[in-house]
Amino acid sequence: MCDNPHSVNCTRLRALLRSVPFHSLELTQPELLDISRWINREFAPRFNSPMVKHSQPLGLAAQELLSISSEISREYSPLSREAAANLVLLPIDKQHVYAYWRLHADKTGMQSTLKPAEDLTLRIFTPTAVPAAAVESTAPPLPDWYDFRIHAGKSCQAVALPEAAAFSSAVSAAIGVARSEQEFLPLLLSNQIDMPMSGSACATADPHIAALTAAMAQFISTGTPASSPAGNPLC
Amino acid sequence: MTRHSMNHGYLSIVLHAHLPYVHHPEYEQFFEENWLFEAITECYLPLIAMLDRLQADAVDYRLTLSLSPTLLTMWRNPLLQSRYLQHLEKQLELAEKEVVRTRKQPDYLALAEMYRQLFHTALCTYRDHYQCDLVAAFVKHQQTGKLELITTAATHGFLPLLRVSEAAVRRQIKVGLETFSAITGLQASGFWLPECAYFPGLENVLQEFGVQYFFVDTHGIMDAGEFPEHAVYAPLDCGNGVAAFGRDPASSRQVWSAQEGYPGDADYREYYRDIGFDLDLEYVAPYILDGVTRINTGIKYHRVTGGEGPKALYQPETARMRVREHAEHFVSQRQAQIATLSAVMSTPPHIVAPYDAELFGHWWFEGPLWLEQVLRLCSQQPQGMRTLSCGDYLDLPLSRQVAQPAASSWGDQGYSSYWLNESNDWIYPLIHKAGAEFDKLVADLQGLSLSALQLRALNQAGRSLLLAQASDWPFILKSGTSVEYAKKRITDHLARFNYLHDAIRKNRINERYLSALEIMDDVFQDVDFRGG
Repeated sequence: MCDNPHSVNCTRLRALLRSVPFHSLELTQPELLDISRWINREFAPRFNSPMVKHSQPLGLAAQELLSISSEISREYSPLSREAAANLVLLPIDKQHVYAYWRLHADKTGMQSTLKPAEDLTLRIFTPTAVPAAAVESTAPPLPDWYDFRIHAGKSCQAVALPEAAAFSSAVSAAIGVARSEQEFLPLLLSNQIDMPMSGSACATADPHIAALTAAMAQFISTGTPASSPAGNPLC
Repeated sequence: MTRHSMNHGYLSIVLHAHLPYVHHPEYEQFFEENWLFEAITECYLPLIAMLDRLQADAVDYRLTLSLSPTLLTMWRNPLLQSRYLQHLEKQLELAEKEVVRTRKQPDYLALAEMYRQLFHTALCTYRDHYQCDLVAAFVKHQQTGKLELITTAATHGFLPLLRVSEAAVRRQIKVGLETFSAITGLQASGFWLPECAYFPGLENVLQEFGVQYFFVDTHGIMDAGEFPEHAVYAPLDCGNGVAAFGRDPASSRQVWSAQEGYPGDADYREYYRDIGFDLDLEYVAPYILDGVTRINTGIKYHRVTGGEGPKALYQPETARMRVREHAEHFVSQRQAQIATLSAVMSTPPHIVAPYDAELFGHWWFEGPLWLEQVLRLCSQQPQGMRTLSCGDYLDLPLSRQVAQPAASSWGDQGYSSYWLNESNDWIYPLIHKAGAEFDKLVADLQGLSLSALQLRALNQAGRSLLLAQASDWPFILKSGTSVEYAKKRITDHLARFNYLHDAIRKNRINERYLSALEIMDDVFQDVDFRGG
């Protein structure tokens, strides 16, 4: 009942319980009150957070917080800071990827290789395990990359991949200068990304669904909403 | 294939509760904090009330609930608790005024009295019964074994778009799980991938942190590396023992679909008609933003009605009848589905029905009642369909097919397009850059002895970075509501990160400024970011 053997109340209570048969205990009003308070204190339901007060003391006044926040937002804006040279590729859906890049002329000398007004090329590599059906077809072999012309002044671009690239499960990219069919001078290489294999869930033409038993396919192929209202509906 | 002889199967209903961290002690009041307050009144308290009723009636149900770390943190924040009480007291005051105003309009009066009762009950439940501790309320039900609590990434970052840094993905997962444990005292065996966004290999990070299962959208399973023998009606083993459960499209459609979904029924309460917009400005001024900008008050008198004509008055009893019909329909559809599937499957079919928790009660006022009815009906099936948590399912002695799910999310077009498009693409170079700087800072400090102040600054920089990575900001930028707020949150958090990064690098940490940031971004207090 009581873990602390040195507690005065606890010792007294134990002594009381030992000294007299339970049915004949006689306790005074102050003793009852004392026991009641002790039980309330020691065995009250525990909540993990403190009771709420209507006004929470802050280490700093609201106005001070606001002032510090505004100063930091003004002085350390992420929009005004230099980024390192890089090329980053991000997946959008089965047919689209997004690339952003930053070239530094002075520090790396990369842009010095560009001729005036020369456009850049974004080369998307699509090494892929082509499905058996595609291999057996008489279609010509798929290329390993696709080139997209981009203006030198741009720093990002969403790219629609050709349908032939739809079998690519992972893609990467390089940005550089393509001066001829055979000559590509890469300036930056990207990360590799995983591509979704199907842009829209449960399309009826999906060969996977066709392979299911009819019993399963009827629940899958009727389609789900294009998406749930993903993200938060409250916002 | 050996067919499963018994005509039975399992239904796992999974709710995912999440809100972005919105906490502004630098202002006396802040509109976006209402997102939390509305959700507490309309969603979280009704869900708790539902669980309490199910417990009181000894209903044998199973439910899985994902609670995001930011939501848990806000539930525990004393300032937000205090402000919520003020908000609720104002709602109750307005409902009292409405009872007086509508005294000569019996139909409206009955609804005004309904809201007065609703807010009064919410106040008693929140303040008196649960002492403002919603976490304790849900944990109590977890301890009965009928509710399984799981969690998600620290700030709900869209992981495939953070993957430029593997450390960023790990940090979102690690901090999410640690925060959940610190606040609830529980270990989450399941993990809700933010927006169900998965990329191959993610299961390895989840396994590293002890996660046993996660969810993907239907096509994440259907387009898996190996053909999924049971479609989405049995989980896949990703190859490392971590299970991936796939969303059942039929269950989703009946709740989410704008055309066929239950919430759009003509008899249900209309979300978009609120007295904050309908009544005289002077009358509602004390209950709206700064007394001038109309906002929702939570008192809504109309039903969906349908068609182009005026909205008809809400009739609660009719809506309750419709709830029962829809619950019976949902359960009978799932039973029929299981009967069909069990005839061709070698294991009992398992239907996974995940939803955003905030749909229930907030958008769909009757949602918690519907869910309660569904759980009660399922508990009355001695054979056939049983509700089950996904953790319980994994304890069943069933073999699982090994295959790696495909990259996928439950968003529009099946992957990242809602979170990466012309409205929000500008944020990624910024958060990736900050992530790389943080990774380098952590690496540079590795093995060095940090002062208490330096450690505080490093941890606060980690918090700022995580808060900037929330998937909510690009979502809001795309959806077009509260755009300026989302922009400001991203740039503010990154500015705070930049400030702290510079301060640590230059060893010029201003304790007053650091304290201000700790007060404003009061999250993940127990997390030590030194490990990355």
